[in-house]
Amino acid sequence: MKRRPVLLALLIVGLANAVPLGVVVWDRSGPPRSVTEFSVRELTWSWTDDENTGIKLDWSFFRSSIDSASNELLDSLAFHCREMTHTYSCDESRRGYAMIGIDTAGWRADSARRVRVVDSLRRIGTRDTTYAVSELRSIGRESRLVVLGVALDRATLAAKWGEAWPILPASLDTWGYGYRPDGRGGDRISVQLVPSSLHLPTELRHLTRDFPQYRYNDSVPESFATVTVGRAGLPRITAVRWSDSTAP
Amino acid sequence: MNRPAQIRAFEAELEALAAEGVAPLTESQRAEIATHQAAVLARLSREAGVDITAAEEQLSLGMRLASFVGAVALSSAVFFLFYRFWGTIPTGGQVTLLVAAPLLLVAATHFLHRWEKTGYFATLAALTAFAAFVLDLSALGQIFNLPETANAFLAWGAFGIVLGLIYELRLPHLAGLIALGLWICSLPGTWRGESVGDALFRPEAIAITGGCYLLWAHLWRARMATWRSLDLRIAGMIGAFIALFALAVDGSKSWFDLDHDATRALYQSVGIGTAAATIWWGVRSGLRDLMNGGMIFLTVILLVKMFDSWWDDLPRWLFFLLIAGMAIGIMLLLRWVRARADRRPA
Repeated sequence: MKRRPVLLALLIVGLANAVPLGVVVWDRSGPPRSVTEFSVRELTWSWTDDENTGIKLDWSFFRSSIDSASNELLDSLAFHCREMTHTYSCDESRRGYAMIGIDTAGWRADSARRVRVVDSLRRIGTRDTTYAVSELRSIGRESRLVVLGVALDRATLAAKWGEAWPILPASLDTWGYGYRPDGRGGDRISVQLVPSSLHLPTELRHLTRDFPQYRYNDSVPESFATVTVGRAGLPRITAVRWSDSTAP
Repeated sequence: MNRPAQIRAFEAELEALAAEGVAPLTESQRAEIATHQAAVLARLSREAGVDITAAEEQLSLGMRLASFVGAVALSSAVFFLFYRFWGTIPTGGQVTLLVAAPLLLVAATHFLHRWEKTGYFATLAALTAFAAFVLDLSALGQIFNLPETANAFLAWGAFGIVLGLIYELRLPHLAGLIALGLWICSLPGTWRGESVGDALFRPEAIAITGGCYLLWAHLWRARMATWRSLDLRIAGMIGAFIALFALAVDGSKSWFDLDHDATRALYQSVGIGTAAATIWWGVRSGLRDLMNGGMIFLTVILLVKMFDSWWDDLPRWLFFLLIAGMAIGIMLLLRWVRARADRRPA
């Protein structure tokens, strides 16, 4: 009696699953766009417990924003700041893409500058070495991941930078409030990768260790995760290794 | 008033008349009517599982509540069960489980609906199927690191509405309407290229979607079952009123390029106007849900308006005196609404 409407309900479930699964199959059917290895500094292991046995790795950035964004960049992202009587304000977001990279020239220059600051403190004979020690430790342990560029579409980034580094879907947000008569309210674009973490397939689970204790202990080896971006632009973890061996 | 309640009221009135010495019907007429009514009640009970006695109605209320609580608990169980074990299941197995769960639960809904006409068990299975479908698409997104999309709400909305319509189940229908509403209100933001979080929570879009639901319920009222138009009105009022409240409190998420204070003031006025129009519409159409919803929203939005306008400027005693005045005004308005409503048929 109600067989046909029931089939409609089943069809909705089937179609809604077929679309994402089809994208995944297509994504993996061709050569990858990029294959990049990130250390635990950039992809940190998230906590897991009995209530959620899935494992994911969270993106961790050194700098997840583009500061002092030019008016051209804001225009290319279609951000329209509001001009009020005496101020400018921006609070908008866009679905777009971000190119990410590690060990970039900018990151190296920033780290070198911080090392020079520590050295200069040593030269003037500061007795308190706490700051210097902690700063040097943090430079050696913190994430090296930075945003190289953002755009509304993948092609713009690929044309400008190539695809040596991953180009990933991202939420681009600008927020700002200023009094500069010549400026725009928002001149900083913050980037949130979408999704903000990567799921570790169960098939790679045997390559993991008791990761929470490794994350906080200096004497244990670092882990490295290989992120492959497929032809549809979907990132996935395809390998995990440890600095002391290739497998636990 | 449903048919069994009408029959019970008719019986009670006849007995009251007989006690007062008035007997409008002969014994044979009463017997004929009683036989007919018994047949009607037996048919309603057999075919639609309708409650015949007042005790059965009370029991049904308990069943409705229990099936809702059971559905929420069972849905949570499905969620937590999957997340507890998915880390040990290969990817292929995860996908199979996720796709199969809503399909199997639809089949369960179908058989439960045939087995028990009142629909309490079918409601439980249908809501769990809805939750399993939500889990299905969400977990697929996590497993394959898919970027989030508002289109999932379209699938969830269509699924809930179809399940509700097939089996005449209100809760899946309402859940579907809310999911579909979220998808509709995300469209302007999606077209503007906003990120999904922002696109979903633009109060003006939510208010317009709520308004569209109310209009839909009004224009199609004659062509749809009473429960369907009631669900549309409930979903519409929830959307429109919550969105207007959010804009009346914080204007920063408005689409208009206005100063935030000006936006708040604008939407406080729009909110008062909308609440008044909803009450008027409810009175005119004899729809109590609109009257009550409009009245509750009017009270809330007036409080917001008074707090925003006068809290800083007036002495506290005068501020609370004005609130008391507003309460008295609303009581008088309610009295008028009730008088108007009583004059119209339910």
